[in-house]
Amino acid sequence: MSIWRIIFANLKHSRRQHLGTSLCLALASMILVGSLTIGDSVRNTLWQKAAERIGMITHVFVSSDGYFHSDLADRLLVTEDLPKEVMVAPVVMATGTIASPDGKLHASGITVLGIDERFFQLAWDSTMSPDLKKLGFWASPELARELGVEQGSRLILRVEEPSLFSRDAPLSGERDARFVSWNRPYLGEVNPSALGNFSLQASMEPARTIFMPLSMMQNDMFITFSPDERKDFANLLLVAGGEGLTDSLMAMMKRCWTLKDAGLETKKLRAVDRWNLRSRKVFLSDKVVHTARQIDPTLEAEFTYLVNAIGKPEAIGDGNASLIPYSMVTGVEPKKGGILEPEWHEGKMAINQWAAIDLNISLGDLISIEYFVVGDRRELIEKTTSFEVGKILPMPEKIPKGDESDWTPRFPGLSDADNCGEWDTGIPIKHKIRSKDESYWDDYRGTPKAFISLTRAQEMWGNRWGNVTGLRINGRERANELGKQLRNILDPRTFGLRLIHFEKKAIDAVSGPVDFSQLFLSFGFFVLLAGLSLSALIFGFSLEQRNRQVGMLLSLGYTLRKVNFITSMEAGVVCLLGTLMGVGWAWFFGSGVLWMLNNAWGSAVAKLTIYYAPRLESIVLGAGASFLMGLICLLWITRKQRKYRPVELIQSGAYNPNSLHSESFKKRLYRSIWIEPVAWVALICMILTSSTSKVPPSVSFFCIGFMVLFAGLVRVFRYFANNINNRKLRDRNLLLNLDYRTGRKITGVGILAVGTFLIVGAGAFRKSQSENTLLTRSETGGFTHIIKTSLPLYDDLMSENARDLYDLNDELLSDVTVVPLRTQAGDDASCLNLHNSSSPPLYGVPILQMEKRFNFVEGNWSALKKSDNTDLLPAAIDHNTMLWSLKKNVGDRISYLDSEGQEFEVKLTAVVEGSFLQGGLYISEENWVKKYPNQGGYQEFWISGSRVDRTVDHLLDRFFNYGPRSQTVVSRLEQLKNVENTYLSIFQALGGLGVLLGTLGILIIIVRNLWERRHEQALLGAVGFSLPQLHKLVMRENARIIFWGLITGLMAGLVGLIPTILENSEGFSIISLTSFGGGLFILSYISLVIAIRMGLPKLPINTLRDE
Amino acid sequence: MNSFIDVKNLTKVYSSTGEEFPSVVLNDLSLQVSKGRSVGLIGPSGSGKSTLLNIISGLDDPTSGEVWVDENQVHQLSPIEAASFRNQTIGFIFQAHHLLPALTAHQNVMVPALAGHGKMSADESRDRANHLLEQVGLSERANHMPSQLSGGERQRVAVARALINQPKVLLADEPTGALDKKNADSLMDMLIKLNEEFECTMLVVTHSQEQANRLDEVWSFQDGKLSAIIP
Repeated sequence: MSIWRIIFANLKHSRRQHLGTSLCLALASMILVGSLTIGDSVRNTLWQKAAERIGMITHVFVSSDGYFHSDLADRLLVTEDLPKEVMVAPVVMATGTIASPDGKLHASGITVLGIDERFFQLAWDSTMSPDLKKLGFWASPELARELGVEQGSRLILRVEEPSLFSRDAPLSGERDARFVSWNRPYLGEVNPSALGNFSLQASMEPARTIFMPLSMMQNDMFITFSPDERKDFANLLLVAGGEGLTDSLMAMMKRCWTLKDAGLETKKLRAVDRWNLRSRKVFLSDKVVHTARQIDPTLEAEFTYLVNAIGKPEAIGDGNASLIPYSMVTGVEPKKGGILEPEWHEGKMAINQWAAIDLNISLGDLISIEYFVVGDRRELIEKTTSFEVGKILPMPEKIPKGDESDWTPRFPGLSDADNCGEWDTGIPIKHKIRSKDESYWDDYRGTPKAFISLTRAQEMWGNRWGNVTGLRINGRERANELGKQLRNILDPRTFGLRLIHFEKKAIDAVSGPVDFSQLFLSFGFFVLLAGLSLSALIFGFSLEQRNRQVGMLLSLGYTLRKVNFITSMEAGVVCLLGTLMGVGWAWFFGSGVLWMLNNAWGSAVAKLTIYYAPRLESIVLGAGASFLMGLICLLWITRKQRKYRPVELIQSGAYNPNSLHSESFKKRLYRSIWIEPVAWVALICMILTSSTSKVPPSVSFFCIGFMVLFAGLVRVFRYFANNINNRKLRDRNLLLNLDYRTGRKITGVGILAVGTFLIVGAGAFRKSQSENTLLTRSETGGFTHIIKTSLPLYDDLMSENARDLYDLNDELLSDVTVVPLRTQAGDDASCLNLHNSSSPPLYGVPILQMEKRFNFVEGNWSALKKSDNTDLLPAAIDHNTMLWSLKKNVGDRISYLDSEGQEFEVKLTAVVEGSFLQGGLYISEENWVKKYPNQGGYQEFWISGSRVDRTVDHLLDRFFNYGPRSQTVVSRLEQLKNVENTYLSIFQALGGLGVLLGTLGILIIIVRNLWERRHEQALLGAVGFSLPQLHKLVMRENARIIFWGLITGLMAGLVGLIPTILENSEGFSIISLTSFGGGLFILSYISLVIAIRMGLPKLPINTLRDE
Repeated sequence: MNSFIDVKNLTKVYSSTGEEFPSVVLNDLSLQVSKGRSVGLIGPSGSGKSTLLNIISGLDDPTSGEVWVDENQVHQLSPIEAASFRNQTIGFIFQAHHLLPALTAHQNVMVPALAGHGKMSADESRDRANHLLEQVGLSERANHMPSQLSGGERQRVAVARALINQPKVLLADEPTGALDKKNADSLMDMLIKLNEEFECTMLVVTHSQEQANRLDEVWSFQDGKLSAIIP
């Protein structure tokens, strides 16, 4: 007979105990493997979604600041060194609203993509692409579901007409946004495999996109752009097959990129051999001007501006007086032989003959100009400046039809007007246009009527978009050289053309801030621990039962190593069985959890439908880890058996109670006295520290709670040990202290206490709705509603201009405050997004309107004003977003690119305590507009005040064309809190499972104890104790385990919550805590009753006879 | 009925699954013992001596027959009455002492008094336990744990425990079986002395003819029946 025979015989003999051990190990294995596979599934689902979203696209060129010509795609393709397999597709992307003609269907905030067939070549399955020869709309699957219209139904799509430059800028055109509309049939849904879910952002919200033919979109969208220029604009270039080209793609782009793509041109003037560097955006940026002047220092800068009136000083402001309305005035550099001579005084103005005659003015007279400048929120500020007439200029040649003055750039809404009545400059017309003004327009178009020094012009009209409208140069060759060198020196990034490593970003995003493997491992840790503890307990019992056998083997000459080998092999087989069972159960656990995540726990995954997709690596890793953990536990428990001599094992067959009364035990007990006071002192210190410093509530809860648990368990241990050793106590309650197995009691108390503590914590940290939502110093900041619009609004809604423009009700608006926010899109970093957000949306907030709102953990709104370094901007952030989504700390920095492609950083300076501000970063509006000067308007508004509901309805009605959506701040907070509460629910559910297991453990311990002590029960029965009496006795004895377990756990939970309650008792409910404790007590009591009935069904008197 | 213990036509059959023939341990056995008498029961192993004691004490049920003790038909008692009967009427000494390992000798003696069937107060039971330990010569060892006592001492504690409630019947199942001759004689002396002192009826199962002969009556077990041996 080999040693294996003994092992198999042992396994067979102890099969019931081993099965119990394996089942408990399987539970631990299930949690471990299951958690890992849940993480796999979430990652896999996110990855599938990401793969659908990006198709084969590896890189994206985004023009955040305007448009380039779509043939840039073709030019890029033929660039030297570009691999042949690379594909490029130009796209026009806009935001819009879509509605049915009868208005019954309406969807706002949708993405509109103008695409051609090249777009679908970037999809995984281009055969699923729609026929773009048809003129109509296709929708993404989500939007198709939302619209629910049949193919062929007419839909009206509306997008904002693109502006040549920011609508915040002066002279940018009509103040009310212009829209481009299409009334076309709906032609169907774009399949997800054909990039139907394409989106630039990694968001949990499914893509809501309308696809339309690129040419159809281009033909209608860019009508306000120069009639001379082609209309084939695009603002996205999608690149596929660009793996490994990240570093070289931008260089290739630079090679094929032209100044025209940036909207720059060297325009031939009508003057002989004169050229002018101009921008499609009217104003030349400082960077371009600076670079151009470095290339050619002889360049002459000019700044042409539209003034409201020119007249004698006394005539300005007098509606009846004679003045010249709406004229161009140009600032030029005084120079020898120029319009303004050197040494030209800045207080002087040169006017043309037509104006001098019209105003009856002569040299030396004073003359005033009235003009608008644009404030931060596009408010028009009227100003007047007076000059002395220093020169009267001869009239230039008349301008041929269709041409423009050499001095005047192409202003939208002005340059194309046939007559003055068609002017659409974005400023209110307050002066009457006379017939001679019309004649001047017909003959001279926008020819300036006055010239002043450039410096003076820049002082008056300079703005963040630029201080120059043209740079003059003599000679074709120099003009060509300037263009060539500008193209070589200037980087496409300067003009807002950014290269995004789209594929990498998508992969990074699905790495996810929320690792569900870790999450469920931590949630299920207690179950795992309980499973391991129980398995060790049961295995230990089975070993104890075989003490005699082990003693006998040792007596027969087996070495300890050989006996250990037998035990270890048994443990190994049991672990293997448990692990394999656990792997099987993991499928049920994983599927069950995912089913819950797809249903009741949907808030935790933002309603994402997750498919169970375990990876073999995770299963192997989980199984291996659980096998090892189980084996270590079981081998650990066998060490007890090795402590005894063979004869002790043969004689006692079980644990020797004498050890509790031994001197060494008493000494150990005595020595452990210090542990308890030290634990209590440490605990008090922790509470004081937590109360006085900003320790997160969860951290203080766990630190303090575990300290109480530890101190409590030491106390309970001493209590049980003292009961056995203290004669007086034992005399008083003699039969209650018959069970000398203190370790087992502590195990029971410990499992129950830890479970109770964790569930109390999870329950206490559930987020409830605050009752003080109207307080400005609260999580709402006093705001009640958030309104978001698909298209930006440019005006301060509280201004008189905006009230006129949008026909707003003064009375309603007088009761509310509207705080507008500027938005730079990014990946939502709130807990609603499972993706990893590296650059969250960046909001520009008006600091003055935010003062005294929200509670801050660190800093305040004023901290955002301080910025010495223009490339390091202070930002405010929600505490939860900072800690959990971005995993950052105060003072950390996050990089962004400005509209010129230059990197800048925001520094986390002010931290807002848990609020609805989750998901983004907030910098001052002033800093924001410096970084994104060309992005005009506001798309998000926070409303506070009284009678808000009516006002919000009114605003939604008035902003209908802008695609408004509103949400109450309370519901936004609920959304956010639901995520946290769902996590806590999962934690509670798994914690509850752990408590159930703990209870099962107590049940096993009690049954086992009763079995081991059956001789005692028999003896007591023999000397006259009835079965009910014995039940009562055992009940009293074991109820103490439950009592101490619950009390220790509850006390640990309550004490752990002290700092949180001291700070804010809101949401803490003693009733729910009591009912939870009561529920646990009942559960434990029932388990106890069951255990006693199972363990002592009748008087075990036969055991006496068996002796 | 003059007998204090009256066993009528007692049969006990053990049958276990798989066995073709059940084992008849007691076969239509009858026994009468008058009050205050001491009876020795001898016989080979497996002859049913212990079974008889267990059935008389109510620890085991007969297959058929009746057992009357002090005018109580033992196996007709309710569980509570049976418990009270075992507590107040019977004192049982087992071959193995069955002391509770977590209690001292003194506390072990007190255990039956705590069952709550008698009228003895806590102080009275404490005093009585002390007195009994003195009687069995263990007053010096009262506060020792069972593990700190010798085999003979443990058995003497068990005797004291059996007497704490002043039982009318003392049943001893091979009380000297695990002891050497000196200790066995000493224990037997003590039992006889206690029988006389407390006037309790005593049934002692033993293998030793010599020990049995020291009692009033001796009965021998043969084929599940008893036959009297006149000492």
